[in-house]
Amino acid sequence: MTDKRLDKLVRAFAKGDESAFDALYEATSADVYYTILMVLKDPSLSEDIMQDTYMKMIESLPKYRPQGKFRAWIKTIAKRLALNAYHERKKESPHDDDEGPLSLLAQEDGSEKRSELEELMRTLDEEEKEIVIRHAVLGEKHKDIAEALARPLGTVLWKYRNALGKMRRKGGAPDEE
Amino acid sequence: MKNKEWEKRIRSAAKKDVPDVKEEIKSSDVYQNHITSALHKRSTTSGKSFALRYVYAGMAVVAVFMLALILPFGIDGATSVYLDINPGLRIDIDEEDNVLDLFATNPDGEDFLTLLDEPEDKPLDDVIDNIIDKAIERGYLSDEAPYIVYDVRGPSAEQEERILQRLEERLPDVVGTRIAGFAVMRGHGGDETPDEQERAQTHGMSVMRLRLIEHIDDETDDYSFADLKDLSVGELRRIMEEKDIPHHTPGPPSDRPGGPPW
Repeated sequence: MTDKRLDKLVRAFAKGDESAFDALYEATSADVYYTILMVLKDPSLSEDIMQDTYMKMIESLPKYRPQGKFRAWIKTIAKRLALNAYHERKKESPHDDDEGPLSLLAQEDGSEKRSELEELMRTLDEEEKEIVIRHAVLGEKHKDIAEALARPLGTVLWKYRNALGKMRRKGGAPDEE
Repeated sequence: MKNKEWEKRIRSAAKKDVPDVKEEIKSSDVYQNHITSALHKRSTTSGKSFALRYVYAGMAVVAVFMLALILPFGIDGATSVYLDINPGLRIDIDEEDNVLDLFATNPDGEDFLTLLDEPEDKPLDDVIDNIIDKAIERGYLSDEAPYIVYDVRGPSAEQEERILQRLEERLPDVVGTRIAGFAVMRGHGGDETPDEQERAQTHGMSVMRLRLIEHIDDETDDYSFADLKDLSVGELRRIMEEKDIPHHTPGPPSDRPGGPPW
C-alpha cells in the first residue's frame, strides 16, 4: 500500500472510520510485529507490545502530521516500546542473557506444528533468520542491518545470500517456479 | 530474479505468522474513546453553517489564483539537479540558478536533508557546498567512497548544459582537495528511455545510478538488484572491481564528453 493511501486511511480513522483502522492494521501489522520481535526475540512478549503499539498510535494520532511517513512513524513507536520492554525485562532478570538467546520464531505454547515461516527457515541459524527477516520482511538495508548487528556489511551480504541459498536447497522451489 | 521470488515467499509466510491482536485493540478503552470522540467531533463540525463553508471555499479559490500569479512557471518548470552520494538528492532551481526546493530521492536522502541549512532562495553553488560539507562530515564522501554521480534535467537545454558543465568543473575543485582520488560521474537526461525514467523514479534514484546497478546485476549472479540498490557508489565500484565487471553501461553513448569512466 502506498504511503499516500496510508495517510488517507489515517485521516479517515482520525474522523472515526473504523474500516480505515482495519485497513491500517492490515497494512502495517507485519512491520510492527517484526520490528518488535527483532528487539525482544520473544514472540509472546512481542504480541503484547504490538497491542500496546497500536494503542499508543491511537493516543498520539492528534500529533501525527500526514507526510507520507505513517509506516515509519508506527515502526518508531513499536521500536521504542519494545526497547522499554527489553530494559524492563533486563531489570527484572538481569542474567537473562546467560540462558542464551530466545528463538526468533518458536512459540512458547509447545506446539509441534511449524508455521510456514518456521518451515522455510528451519535450516537457518538465529542470526541468518534475523538478517532475512530484517531485509526481506522489514525492508531494512543491508548496511543498516550490519550496523544493528555490529557485523561488517560484507558478512551480512554473504549471510543473506547464503541463507537464501540454504532455503532454496532445503525448502523447495517457490510455487511460481 | 530468483532471490526476489524467495523474498516474496518469505514476506507472505511472515505475514501469516503475525499474531492477530486487532480485536483486542478494538475492544480497548483507548480505541473506543477515540471512535466516540471522533464521531462526536464530526457531528458538531457538520453543524457549521453553509455560509461559512462558502466563505472558506472562496478564500481557497483566491489563494490558488494568487499562487498562480506568484509562480508563473510553477515548480514543474524548474530545472532539477540530481546528486547521488548515497544520500540521493534532487535540487530544483529557477532560471537564475537559485534553489527553489530540495528533495530526497532515497531513504538516506530523507535523513540527510535534516542536516542541511535552509536551502530556499540560495544560489545553487552555496547549497551544493553545504551538501558536500555534510556528506564529508558524515562519511558519505571519503577516501573509500570518493564519487558523486550527478545529473541535470530541465526545460532549458542551455541551462541544463551550463549547470552540467559547472558541476563537472566545480565539484572536483571543491571536493578534490579534501578527498583523495575524488571523481565525478555524469549522466545525461537526453538519452534516457521513458522506461528507464519510470524505473529510476520507482526506486528513487537517478537514471545514471539505475544503469550502473542494472549493469552489475546483468554481469554477475552474486548480487541481486535488491542487494545493490542501497549501496554507495564507492561500494558499487568496489564490487565491479572485485567481480571484474567491465566499466561501461548499456544505453547511452560511453564516449560523450565528461561522461563516466565506464
